[in-house]
Amino acid sequence: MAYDHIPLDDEFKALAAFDWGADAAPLAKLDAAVIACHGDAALTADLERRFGEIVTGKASRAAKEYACRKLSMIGTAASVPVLAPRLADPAESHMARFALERIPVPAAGDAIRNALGSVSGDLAIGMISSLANRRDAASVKPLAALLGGDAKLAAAAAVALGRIATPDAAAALAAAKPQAGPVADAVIDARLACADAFLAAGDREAASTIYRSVAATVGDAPKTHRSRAVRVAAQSGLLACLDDTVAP
Amino acid sequence: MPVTSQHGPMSPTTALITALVLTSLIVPQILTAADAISASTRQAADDVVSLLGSGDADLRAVALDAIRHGLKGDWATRMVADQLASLPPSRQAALLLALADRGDAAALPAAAQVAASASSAEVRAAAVQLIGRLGGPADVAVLVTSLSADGPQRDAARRGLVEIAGPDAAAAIRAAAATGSPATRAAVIDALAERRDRAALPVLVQAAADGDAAVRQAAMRALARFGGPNEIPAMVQSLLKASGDEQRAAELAIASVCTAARNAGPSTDVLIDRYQAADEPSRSKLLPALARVGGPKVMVIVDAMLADPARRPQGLEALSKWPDATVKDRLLDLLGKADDPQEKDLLLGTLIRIAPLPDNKLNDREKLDLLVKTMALCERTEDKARILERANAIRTIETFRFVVPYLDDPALAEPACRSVVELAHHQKLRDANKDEFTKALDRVLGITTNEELRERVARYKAGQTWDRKKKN
Amino acid sequence: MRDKLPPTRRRFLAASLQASAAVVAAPYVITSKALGDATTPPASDRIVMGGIGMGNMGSGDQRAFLARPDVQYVAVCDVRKKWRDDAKGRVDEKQGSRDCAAYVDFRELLGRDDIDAVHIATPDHWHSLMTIAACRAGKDIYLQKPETLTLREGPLMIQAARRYGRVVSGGSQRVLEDYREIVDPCWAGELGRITSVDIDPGPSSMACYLPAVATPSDIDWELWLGPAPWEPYNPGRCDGNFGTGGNSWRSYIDYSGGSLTDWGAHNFGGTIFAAGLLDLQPTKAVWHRAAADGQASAYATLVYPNGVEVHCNRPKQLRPADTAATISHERGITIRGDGNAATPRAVPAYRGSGGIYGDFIECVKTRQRPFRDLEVAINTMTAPHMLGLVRRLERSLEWDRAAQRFVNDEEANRLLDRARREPWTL
Repeated sequence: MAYDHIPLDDEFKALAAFDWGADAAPLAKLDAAVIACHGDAALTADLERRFGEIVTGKASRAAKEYACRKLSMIGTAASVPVLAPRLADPAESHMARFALERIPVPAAGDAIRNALGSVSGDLAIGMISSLANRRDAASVKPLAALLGGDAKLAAAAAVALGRIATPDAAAALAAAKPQAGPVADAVIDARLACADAFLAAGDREAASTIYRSVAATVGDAPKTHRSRAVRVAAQSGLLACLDDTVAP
Repeated sequence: MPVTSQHGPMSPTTALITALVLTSLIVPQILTAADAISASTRQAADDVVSLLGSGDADLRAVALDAIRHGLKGDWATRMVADQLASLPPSRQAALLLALADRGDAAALPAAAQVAASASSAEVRAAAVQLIGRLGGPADVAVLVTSLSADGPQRDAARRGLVEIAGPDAAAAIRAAAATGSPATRAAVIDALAERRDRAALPVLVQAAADGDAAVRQAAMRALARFGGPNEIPAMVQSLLKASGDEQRAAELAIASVCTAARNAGPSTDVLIDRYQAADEPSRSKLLPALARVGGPKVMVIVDAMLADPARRPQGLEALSKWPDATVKDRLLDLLGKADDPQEKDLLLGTLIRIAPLPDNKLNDREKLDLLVKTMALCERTEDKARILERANAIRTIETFRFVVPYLDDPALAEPACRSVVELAHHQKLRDANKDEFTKALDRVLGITTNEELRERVARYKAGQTWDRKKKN
Repeated sequence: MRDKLPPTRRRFLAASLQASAAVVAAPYVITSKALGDATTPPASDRIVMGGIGMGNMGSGDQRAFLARPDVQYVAVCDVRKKWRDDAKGRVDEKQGSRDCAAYVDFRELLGRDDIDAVHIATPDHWHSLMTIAACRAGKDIYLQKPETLTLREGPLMIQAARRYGRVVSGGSQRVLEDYREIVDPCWAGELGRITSVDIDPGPSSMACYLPAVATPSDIDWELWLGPAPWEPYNPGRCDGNFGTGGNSWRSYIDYSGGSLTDWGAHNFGGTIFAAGLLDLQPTKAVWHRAAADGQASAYATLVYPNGVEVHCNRPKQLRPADTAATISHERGITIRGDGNAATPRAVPAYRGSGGIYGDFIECVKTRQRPFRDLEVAINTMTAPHMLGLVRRLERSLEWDRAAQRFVNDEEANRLLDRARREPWTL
């Protein structure tokens, strides 16, 4: 459906009253407007403001979810204050994060990182997941701080550090000394991810240091599929570090 | 713990093994002046060789992966290939497969030696596979010879003759198609078919007239895949000399060329020309092939036959082989006017055959309509039963509703049961019309004593599936 | 840097050799049926498998693996009771026991160390997460197509597979089996160098606004949704049928790319295979707006680095006339070459026996890469995913394969992936 520059008042009214199962025809016009606003700063700002009003208003969960999806496409720093307070609400956290994760301004990352300090449990894992997807280097410190705590958070934080894969992240992972179990596994996965990233960037020495260290964790005769796979990862990584006939 | 041992003294065993590995030093022996590699890569290569000798499958897999994707350079290929002789057979085979994937022809001499001398069939097969992947014209002979071997080696040779690259290798394969035992020649021709070697078309045309049936049939199979109008005359000649199964296969081969995605029209034109130019006995033999092609130009010929009382039986015979339902109106018309019982049988049988064909140019509704019309023209129970059984190829609820009333007809209840059960086999159809199917399946239980049908009904009613293969 | 490499590297490998002796003495595959018979290999030679997602495609995959004498099938997993029970029933019936384990949560199945390989046939929104988890657990994976839901998932999955040395096969059996009439002439060089392709992919997935319905007791709805946004239960949202026009998960954007990626995995797969683009990803996706006079609808062109143009849904009147170097497939695919001589190449074949399933099992044994290796599958899926984005954004996009990002289009880059619902993370 093409956007024909109508005022969209009726459509936003319909969205404010929208719920699952209702007539979705008005939403198609909003979809079109979001596509059409590309390169039109004024229209984008207007749409962003109005979707923000849905998010902060008394609309249904379905309507807010819809608005968050749209903000994920056109949201700017202006949407961060709208979305950030939702991160702590179990019913709205994911969709607020859905939008924030995609908004390519530092303030969006700041908001998610800040929320990490104020939420717990699954909501915190959600923040960690989004920080990982943003490869948010500024999050290394708070993520590293989680490695020694709650097991689920620690495992998620380890995975995120592996995705971020900076030298700081690798150092934090190397310093973690989790007991055997899911956290230890996640740390190993993350360390391998860091090593692979270093190797790909041409830092064979840093990579081989990690591969060797990881290989040591699985012992001489790993017997489980998991530990054998880890050994394969470390061994092939070490070979790749030595073999400079192949570009990293 | 190997890695951490760098911080402390090695155990005696580790020290011993380390010493053994250090003395292997294979890389320097392989390197030539042209092979400028770093000390680091040299160590990687040495490590790969060490890992190949490991008793641990995971470590060998790491080495094989490095051979497949790393250590670029033919020095590494030669180095690794030189290890073949020192490995036990199953590891030799694995290494040969990895070298084949690596794609460096420097491995060929070692593989050829293994192919000629290995006692293990698995190893020979892997060597032949490598030769097929990486070899050249000089290696075709090995592959052709391996066609006479058993099992995996023969299969590898067949595949190798398809994979071996280059125009000279292709020429060598074409030459091999003319010599050797008929079985070997047929296998070589099958490889030419798989290669779609258009330069081999003259060879295939010649082979289509060969004195050996296996060779002829292989040639016709090949021509069926990528022959065109130029090859139709030879295929026609082959058909005219064939009988029995070979004749039918030849008909299908010609029809395949004339209905292919490319050159179908010109090929059909040549076929029609050949038919028109043939004498009457030859025409009789060509007509089924022509009919299997179908289409408007062939229809003109068939219509002329139908209009000629003397040739009418041939025309009907041709219609009976038509590939789609475009002749349905003619068939219905002819059936309505037919008096001769044999003629009626033929027409009815054709209608029942073509109505549910998957690619007959009708949609599901039209297919069922045609079957319903045909049913109305049936008098004999066995014809009606055939319709009920063919109907289940049209997987719609309308078909189901057409079949179900026949459960009440004692003479047709059994084929109707089979058809209902077959339709119920399709879970989506069954689930979307659950109540109707449940009632019908209950009725089937009250009618049939066939154990298999009853078991199927029980499974479908319970929401389960039925595995056709387990009964085969 | 080379000179600084640790001198203990060789020692490490040597000690690994030493360690291997213990592994040989204690094979890791220990199953209930240690001995084979005339048709069944001994347990140590069989691949121990489990299945995750046992609906339409999962049950078909399961049957194929169950039928193989070299597979020992031990566990199934589905969030729906009926499919779980049916799947367990098939295994138990086949094996004459009640041993097959049934799980609701895939993590339990992946946690079993006796399982060597899994097949995954869940809705698409689970594919990347489960595949990466399975790689980390050291399993080999047969993954139903479409292998990915978003562009970002692909590289992460490949990294995991390569890192842990896993065999991961995509699951489109049609690519090799259904398109031979175009694949064979192209690979034989009969069309010359391939220059362009026309293909008619189906529609993209859509948003789902189905109303809430009481959640039945036989489905774990939270686990069905997993990383997807929370939405109320509705049978039309999660039905596993093959429809893409509504009333199946294949219709909806949170769980699927729609017909575009569902049948697209086959049709793009066959096309890309035929045209020799298996190792490539498009560099551009060009959006052609609909003609102002209404005579031609909008379409897109994917441009590959070797110059091949794949026109998607190009109106018939804009297509060039067929030549001797044109070939068409009944599924709406037309491939054009330049008609010059081209080097023939052998069409790749499955390894082992038994179609794509046999190919996977053979590769599990030999550690070779399968026919639809994950990387090939991801390259293939890049095409429909990019097409989906240009359709959605209605503008052209340029793709930097090395960076896995669009060039100068930050809004498009936002759509590379989506936030996963807690507690799921890649």
